[in-house]
Amino acid sequence: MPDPLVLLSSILIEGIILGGFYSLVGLGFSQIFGIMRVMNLAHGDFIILASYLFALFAQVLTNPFLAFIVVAPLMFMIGYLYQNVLNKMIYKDSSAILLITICFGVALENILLLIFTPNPRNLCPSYLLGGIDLLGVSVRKSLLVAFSGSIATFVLLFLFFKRTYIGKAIIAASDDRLTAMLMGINPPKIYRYGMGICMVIAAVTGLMVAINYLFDPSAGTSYLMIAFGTLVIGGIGSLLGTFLGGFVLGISQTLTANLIGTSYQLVGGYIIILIFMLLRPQGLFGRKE
Amino acid sequence: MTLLSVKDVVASYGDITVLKGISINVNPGEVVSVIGANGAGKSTLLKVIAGLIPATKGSIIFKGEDITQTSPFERVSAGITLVPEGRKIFNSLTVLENLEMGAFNPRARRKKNVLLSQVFELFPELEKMKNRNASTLSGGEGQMLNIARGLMSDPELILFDEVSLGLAPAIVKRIYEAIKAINSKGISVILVEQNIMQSLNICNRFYLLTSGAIRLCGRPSEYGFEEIKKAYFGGVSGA
Repeated sequence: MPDPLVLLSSILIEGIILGGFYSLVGLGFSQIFGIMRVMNLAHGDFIILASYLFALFAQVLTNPFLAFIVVAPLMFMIGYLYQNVLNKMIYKDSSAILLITICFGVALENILLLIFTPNPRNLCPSYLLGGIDLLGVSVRKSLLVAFSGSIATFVLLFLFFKRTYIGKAIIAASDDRLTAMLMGINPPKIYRYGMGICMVIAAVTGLMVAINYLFDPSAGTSYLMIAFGTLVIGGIGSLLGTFLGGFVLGISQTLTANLIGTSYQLVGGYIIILIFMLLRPQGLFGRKE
Repeated sequence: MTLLSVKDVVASYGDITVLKGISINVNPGEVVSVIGANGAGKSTLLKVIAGLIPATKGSIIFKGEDITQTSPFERVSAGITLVPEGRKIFNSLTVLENLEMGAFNPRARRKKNVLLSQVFELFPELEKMKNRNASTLSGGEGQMLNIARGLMSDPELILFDEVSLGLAPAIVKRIYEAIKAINSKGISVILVEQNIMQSLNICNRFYLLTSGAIRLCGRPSEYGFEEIKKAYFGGVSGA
């Protein structure tokens, strides 16, 4: 039996690093919900689409990180056009919009299957293989990259909302759509930008998925579940909530993995999600609506 | 030339026709009051002018151009701004960010700093609390922000919907002084109020609405207060 203090600190470090990645997975999804009030059930599939785009362009540009300069604008365009479709339904029927996102997800998954076959892939470059010692705990280098990428994305998004006109307009439109219109803001137009940005976040997520895990066309669902979990735990529309939601989920998974068994680690996460749904449905930082 | 002319406008919420053929005019530099009981259609009229509710019949002409079919955003750019009823400030943003949103249209955004110093001159309180979150503002401060934000769009015609509703008398006085100051800069005003005395005192002309139609209009001095009151309450009984 190892020293309980050492065990606990290693669980915490592992959980925090994993949680940082989970926050990133949840970020795009929770922002789409916060801004447009759309539960984007295709989000996991968009993340995997990005992973495949990285696979494609990494061949040409020799490096998955370099491929970001192509994949990011591409995903922005995809988000922009996707929202164009959603906008046609957005104020009319919220259940129809839910179905549309599911259809998009299924279609995406099958298109990827057709083009890329079901063989799992991984894009981890050789220099990111192996671990690094962090306070006595060995952490995968690629997961540390995901963790740092997540923090950077959160900071950039925070600055975007705080510093740019369009960022503030997105918040205004999500606060009060009708009043935003009185300011000369055109919410559907703003939503297209919003979705574009959320798809750039999905691109960052897809890159981190691709260098850390095996992915195949049907991998999206498990990331959708993680995203859903961070939304439930963190609360709607709160950046800080999503950020901490990822950590809660990550730590609860590493806790169950270490104390009960690795095969139960997902269950541990789901139980936490369930507890939040029952006891604190507005999440950690959610606004009561 | 009239600044705004609303001609025979009909508007409905679903099956209920709220405006039954209304015509009003606003001349440049005028303060026009629209009075009437609850449910007479005053707020609806403002929303139709701002473009939030479509006019199913009739037309709206602003500065000689037919804007009946244009979107709310286009009307803001053209120079019509509605200051909405109630606490409609953006609670997730600071006071300053709320004001910036007021100047969202490109024409206003170019002269944002000039507009900002103008509204701070009008409401110095807002400058002191510009970095505070808008959700922390009191009722009166919130209404000042609401008005200031409307002004940030650099309007030629500003529409006030129940601007004094639920505010303390001292604040109401302050806000009416602000409206006079706004008008003295050449901005035309349409004022929708349930407080008849207040709005008749400030306006050049008034329109009295009862159940979606204009019952009385003209200068307040042309009519006795009793006459206006009678017309006002006549509409409530549905006669």
